[in-house]
Amino acid sequence: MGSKEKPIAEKNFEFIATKDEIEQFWVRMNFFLQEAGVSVKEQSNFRLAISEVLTNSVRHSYKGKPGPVKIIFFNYKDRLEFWIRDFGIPFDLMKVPDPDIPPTKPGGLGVFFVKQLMDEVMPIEEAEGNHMKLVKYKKNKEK
Amino acid sequence: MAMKLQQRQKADVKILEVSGDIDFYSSPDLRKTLHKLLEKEKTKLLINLKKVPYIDSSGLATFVELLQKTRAQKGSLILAELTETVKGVFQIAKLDSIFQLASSDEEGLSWLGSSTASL
Repeated sequence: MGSKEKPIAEKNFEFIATKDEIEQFWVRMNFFLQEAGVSVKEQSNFRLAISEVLTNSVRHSYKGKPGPVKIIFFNYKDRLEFWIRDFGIPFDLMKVPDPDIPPTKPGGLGVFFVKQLMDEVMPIEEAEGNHMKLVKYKKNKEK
Repeated sequence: MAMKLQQRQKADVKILEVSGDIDFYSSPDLRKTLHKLLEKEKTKLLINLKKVPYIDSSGLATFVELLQKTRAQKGSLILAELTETVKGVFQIAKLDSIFQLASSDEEGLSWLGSSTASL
């Protein structure tokens, strides 16, 4: 998908973004993260970053209703990638302004967390819906 | 992990124990409960988070809103026994310097000047 480099491991997840389905996704995702040697702290960080993207899909793309999402996890030699796709109303996460830090009012923190926790956050152009690519380099564990 | 809320009162302090994840799905229930607890002015509120393994931006926003409301009502708010993961999320947003984070209920009660501090 896009890259000619062959990953060490690749895993596809497709589900409807409900609370229960997301919890089941995390049980499976954590298994693959552990297999990739990801620490417990980093597992929590990935959970937060990916959940914030999924929350935006439910809140903005699907207007509060559960909708289908697709997540592809790539374990490369030097990095982990998470490709997160929904099929709802297009919503540009990258245009969300950073909140004041520390925040003085509720809101705007989700995208800030994604940017803080990942090394690269970039949209992938699609004919419909939203597609985000999140990258974390393995050597940059303390970011 | 589904969220559960348990309320108790120690002298003039309202204590809320939260168990489970505080996220997009559970934070509306938490917000509703917190607003009920803050119906009166000058409320002293201690929230114990030792059984909260995970919090997201929705949960954090709930606490930011709560802090604003507490200050507006001249009340007091202490968050106690944050897990490492939850404390880490507060630190990313630099909210650990804004909230009063106690290491135990006893410490939080002493900060509130409660007569129950020696519990």
